[in-house]
Amino acid sequence: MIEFKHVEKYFGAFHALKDINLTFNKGEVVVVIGPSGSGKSTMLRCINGLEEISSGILLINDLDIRSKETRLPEIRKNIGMVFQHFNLYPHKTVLENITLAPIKVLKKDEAAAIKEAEKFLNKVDMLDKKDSYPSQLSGGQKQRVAIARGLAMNPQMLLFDEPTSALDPEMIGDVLKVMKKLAKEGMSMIVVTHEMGFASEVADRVVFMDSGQVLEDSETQTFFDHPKEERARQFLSKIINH
Amino acid sequence: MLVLLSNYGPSFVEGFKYTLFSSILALFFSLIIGTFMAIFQLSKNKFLRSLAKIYVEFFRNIPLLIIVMFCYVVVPLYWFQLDGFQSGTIGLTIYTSAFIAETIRAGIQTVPAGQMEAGLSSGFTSSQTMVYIILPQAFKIVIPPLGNQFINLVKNSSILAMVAGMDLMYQGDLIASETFNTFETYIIVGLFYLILTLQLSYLMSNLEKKWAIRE
Amino acid sequence: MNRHKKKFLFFSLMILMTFFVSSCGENNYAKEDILTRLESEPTIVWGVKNDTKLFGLMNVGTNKVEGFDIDIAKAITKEILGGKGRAEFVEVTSKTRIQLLKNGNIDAIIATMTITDDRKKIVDFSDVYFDAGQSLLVKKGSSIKSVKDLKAQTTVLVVKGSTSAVNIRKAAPDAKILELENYSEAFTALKSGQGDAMTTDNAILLGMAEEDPDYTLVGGNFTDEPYGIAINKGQKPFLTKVNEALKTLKSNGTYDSLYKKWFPSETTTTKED
Repeated sequence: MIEFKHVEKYFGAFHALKDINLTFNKGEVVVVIGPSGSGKSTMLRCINGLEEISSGILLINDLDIRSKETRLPEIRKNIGMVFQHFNLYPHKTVLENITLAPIKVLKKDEAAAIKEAEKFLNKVDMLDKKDSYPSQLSGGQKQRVAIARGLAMNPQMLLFDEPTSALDPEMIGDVLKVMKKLAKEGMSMIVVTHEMGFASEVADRVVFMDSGQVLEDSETQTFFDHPKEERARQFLSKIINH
Repeated sequence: MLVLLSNYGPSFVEGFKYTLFSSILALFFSLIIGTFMAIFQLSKNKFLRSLAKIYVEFFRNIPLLIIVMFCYVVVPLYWFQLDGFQSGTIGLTIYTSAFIAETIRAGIQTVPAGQMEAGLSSGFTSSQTMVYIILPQAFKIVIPPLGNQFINLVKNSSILAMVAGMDLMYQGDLIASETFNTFETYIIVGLFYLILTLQLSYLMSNLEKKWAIRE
Repeated sequence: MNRHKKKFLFFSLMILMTFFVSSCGENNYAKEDILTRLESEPTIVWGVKNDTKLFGLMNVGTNKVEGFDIDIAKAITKEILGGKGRAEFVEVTSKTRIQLLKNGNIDAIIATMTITDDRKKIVDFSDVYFDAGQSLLVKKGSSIKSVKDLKAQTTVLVVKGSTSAVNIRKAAPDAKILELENYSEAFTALKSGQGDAMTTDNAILLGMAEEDPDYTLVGGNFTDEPYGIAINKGQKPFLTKVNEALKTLKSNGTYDSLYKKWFPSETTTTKED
């Protein structure tokens, strides 16, 4: 459902993505790893149009993201995103954070939206905090609310941009648990993360990026057992011994 | 002072009504125009951006009196009739909106970029994100400086007196020149302005507190 | 909260009290006898207009105020103090002139000021130095021919703090009156159509008509409003001197030549009154 063909991305003179060719299929869980500054977040942000690609072709459900006819809000409705820093709306309660887009974008009626929101809050184990404001929550709680917010749009796919990097270690488990649950339910997910345990447990595929290039794109098992690339091997040994 | 009040009470009250009415109109419209100009200044559209930039820089940097005089003297000469009250209120609106635009723009820029991204990622258009997500947060941040702008607006409404706008200061001028009792007249005028501005300060700080409790 | 409120009230009261005290007491300056002072310091400080054509108008080129009022003031100064005397000019407006006089900032007002009974209660006036009367200025071809044409639908422009407003209210009670800051603003407002007519002293209106021939005076003078020199109460000796000087100027021809200098076409109108 998502296809990168020879995609390039520049930030001014900086060459952030170099000849990216990737395919993400429905129902797949793909983990993207790589050192900081390798372009993995940029690649992810191109998928829902938060970054514009400089050249190449990026197809989302067969729609060319650069075509004039493509309306980004339509694409984004189907692709949820979870951010490293949660980006919850501080002026809205947990429940309002989740129902805002379904009511305003999908034009759902309020009662139905609330009912659905409560279902998702229950799923991420945050129903008891539905009337709190984001500032009253811990990082892990915020991230679970953010996941529920993404789910509330009933997207075909969820993008995770380092969802646990800003969390205290003891919070990470709760968030990963929710993500694993989603993966098992068949949600299509692309996850940029350093959590190798999560990758080996739930990912169908692992994509390894460095310096703006995709260096390896393999089945999870193959990647962890026999990484083809020297740099991937170094990276893995560093992360795992860490 | 009491004698002055009892003799000219209705004049003061009449002037007060005009000042109040002009202030409310100018406050309402300058907030709307200012908000749009703030958004335009941050827009990706080059035309809107330069339009807003020119508007803000031009009207912020010329004396209010010139804008008001232009409305009162030049506009009727070439386009359509505007009386003193209308010219004063329009001038006040234009002038204040330039300052409000800057205040709100600063407020919008303090809202983290992630908020816009979160909104867009949920399928909102950028203008919807602005309305539902960015502006409510920006307004909360700018309540104190906005309150200052509002208070300035009420005081600046005395510009109406220059173009016979029937306001409090106009009445004060007339009463002072009729009674030769300049000091007391202007003290009373000042007290009437205080009634307006103190209530406005109170209202704004209440709003600030109310919004601070949440979150 | 309560303590703050009390503090606030206290300070407000203090500020108000200060105002009252300062408005009640006149300073020593104003009580000093002007004539005595002139012996040691031969300078008369005159309050004059700086925005009134023909009477007191700032010449932007020379940065000096020029006009009939100025010339009369200079002539009187010379009469009273002789060659060593100096006339100093302070610009005043209709709104500020009495306050400045009372404060002692100026010795006399010669600023197109009409002698009225109300004003006589507050200041003393010299003999008449200019026979003015209120008239109307309209655009040529206007349907307004005299004060009688100022009906409810018409708007008349006047200057704040002048007697013109009071007079026009009496003469045309139905007309709408708008009061503006100064003559130039009122005239500009008339040109912009903010009013149908402008009213003030004829001499000033003549100055305007001279500047813009599209405008003309109609209906003659409907009031008799002689200009006088205002001097603070309690300055009788100085007032007498000023009156004596005025008399001399009128008898020795200085007055007439100054009059012709500023109102060359107008001699007949005033003489008729």
